[in-house]
Amino acid sequence: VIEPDDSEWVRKARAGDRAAFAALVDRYWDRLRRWLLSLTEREHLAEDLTQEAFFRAWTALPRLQAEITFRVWLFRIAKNLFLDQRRGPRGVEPEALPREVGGKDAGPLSELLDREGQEKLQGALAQLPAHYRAAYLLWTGEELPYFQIAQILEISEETARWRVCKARQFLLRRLRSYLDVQKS
Amino acid sequence: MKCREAQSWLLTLRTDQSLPGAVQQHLGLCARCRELSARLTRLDESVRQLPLPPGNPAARAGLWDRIEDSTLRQPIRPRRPSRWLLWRQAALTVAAAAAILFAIGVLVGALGWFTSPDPPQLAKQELDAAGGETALVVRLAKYDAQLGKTTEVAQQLDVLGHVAGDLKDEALRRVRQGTATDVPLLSELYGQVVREGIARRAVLLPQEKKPALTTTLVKQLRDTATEVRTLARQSLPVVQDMLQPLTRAAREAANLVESGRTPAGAAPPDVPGPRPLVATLVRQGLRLSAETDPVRRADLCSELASVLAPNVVLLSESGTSGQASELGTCMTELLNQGVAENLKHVQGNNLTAERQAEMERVRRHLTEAADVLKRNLSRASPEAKVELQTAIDAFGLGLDRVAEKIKDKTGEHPTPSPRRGTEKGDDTNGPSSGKQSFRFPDLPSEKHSGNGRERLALWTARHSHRSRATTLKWWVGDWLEDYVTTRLTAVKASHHFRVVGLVGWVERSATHLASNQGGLLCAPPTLPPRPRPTIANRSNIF
Repeated sequence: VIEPDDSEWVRKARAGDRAAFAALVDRYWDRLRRWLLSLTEREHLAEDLTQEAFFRAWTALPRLQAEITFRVWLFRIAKNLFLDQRRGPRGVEPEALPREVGGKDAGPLSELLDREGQEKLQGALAQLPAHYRAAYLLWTGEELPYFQIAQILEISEETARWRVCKARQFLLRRLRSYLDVQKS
Repeated sequence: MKCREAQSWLLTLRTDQSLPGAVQQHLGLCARCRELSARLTRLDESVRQLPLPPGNPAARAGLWDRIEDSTLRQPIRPRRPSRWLLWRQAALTVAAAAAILFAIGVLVGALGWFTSPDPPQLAKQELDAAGGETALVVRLAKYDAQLGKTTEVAQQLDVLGHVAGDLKDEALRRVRQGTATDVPLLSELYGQVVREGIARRAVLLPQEKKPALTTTLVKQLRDTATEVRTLARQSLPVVQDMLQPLTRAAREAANLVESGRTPAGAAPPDVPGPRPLVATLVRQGLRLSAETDPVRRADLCSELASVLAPNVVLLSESGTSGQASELGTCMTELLNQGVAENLKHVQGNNLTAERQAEMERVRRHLTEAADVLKRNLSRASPEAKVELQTAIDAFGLGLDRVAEKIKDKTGEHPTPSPRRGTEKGDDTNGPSSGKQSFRFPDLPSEKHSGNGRERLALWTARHSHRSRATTLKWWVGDWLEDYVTTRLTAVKASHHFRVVGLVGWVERSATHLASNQGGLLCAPPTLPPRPRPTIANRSNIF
């Protein structure tokens, strides 16, 4: 996977160029929201955290170190925000995951199967412990290498590898029937 | 290859990544593992294709509103990295100490420190731009001065953390610049600091501070290991090899701190002979952190000052943007924080012969340093002379303070250095005896006479705010400390009134100082009237 080069936009954004920062927002907004949605399982919260992460990134851009990429840095901010809100007051029931997931153009039967499968998949992901889920989704969704996952989650590379491995094992066990249906 | 081994490969590699030959071979033979591989592919693909619900456009618009509304419409200004640890907060609990700090703040503020365009300390970025190695030397000298002053483990760890961080930063900077020849030395020094300094000192932390501070230390060390490893991956194999000791040292130190163990074996002995200045500074800092005897600590600081003196001369000649005077200020800090402060803690005034000899060694080191500065001034180029003179002036003031401390402890009557050109000769050979008078060598300066306060007044009028602040901090600190100590002993019943009285004096003095910079320093402070303590106004104060 070739990582997009943000360096020019980052350089301009550091100098206060909002257009450059807007380009970064366009590039990473949905990716970050997807990851946060998987972690929080609440749409509104994911959106709030996404907005907060970008806002903090804007204010802290001058502190971005050269040896870390913008994407890794942004996701690390988001991870910290997610952890912070988890430490906050509890009592708010998580919303159910969106039932009306978007489908591809397909017939009614395949659409139904797709929807059922997606629900199963989301259910299994929701059962994954959050720290495994975070690592696995960065690995599979963002296609980040282990060392960048380690940077985002502030863990060792070995731990990142271990978490991805365990997450995949867990999902394989839970989704065996679904994956076999897919095969057929 | 067995299935178990093949599966561990399959579970940790992407299915589109090239698998090792042995695994591919195994997949060709084993249907079960092939099936697992296929399932994993389907799993990852399914997760990737999970649809993202449409977002609320208001959230993104809200981001721009916030940016618009925020104060960040001002240009973003780079900030210095935050301090590694905030150890000192705990130490500032005593009212008298707070008063001293406040008083220094008021006085220095009156001199324009806070309004000055000069930052209170030379910024790291500024130094880096001017030349990495010199910048590192200046910073390490400052850290050594701080280590020379404190024996508290938490503070020592704070400073050692800065030392390690700067060595690491310098090594990484050089790798990025493609000038990695000194990286092995920097890696080695980093290893010494974290193993011999941080890991050994962390064991001695007081129990109440240990859990929090060790956690922070371990995290910092592990972050360093990750950061260095990340850069190493992007570098040539030869550079990776150079950085490997640094990563290993950070990991080892993290494990040692976490487990509460010290490194096996004793610290490596000093190898005699010349070594790079950076190495000397690091080694001396480590020795200072391990030494508890005040005279030996003063000796280590004075030795360091004598090592720095030739470098001040060389820097002044190279004309690198004020760094000679900056290093001269470091020498002054070594004298103030390292030598004078330690001598203050020497018990008793009747010293044994052994102690006298140690004091003599301190004096000899400082004499050597002063000699080096003095001998080179006359032959310096006109541009270098300005820098060198600034350094010499600062150093001379530090010598005054040390001379006062030596006089207190030995009963000798030193001739302070800036009273120059009035007497000739010095007695730097052999230990001082009894009430014999001694003096540091004459340092060339503007022709004037008078006591330390008068010279300080003149000096502060001539030099930059930053230099003023550095020196004033120690002079004023001494005076106020003496003053507070006297007053605290006299009126033990009401601490706060002493503080209030002190603050009142400082405020009046600051006003005076603002209107006439030399006046206050020449005039002895008048004690404030002592208010009558009552329960009512006592509760209003704190």
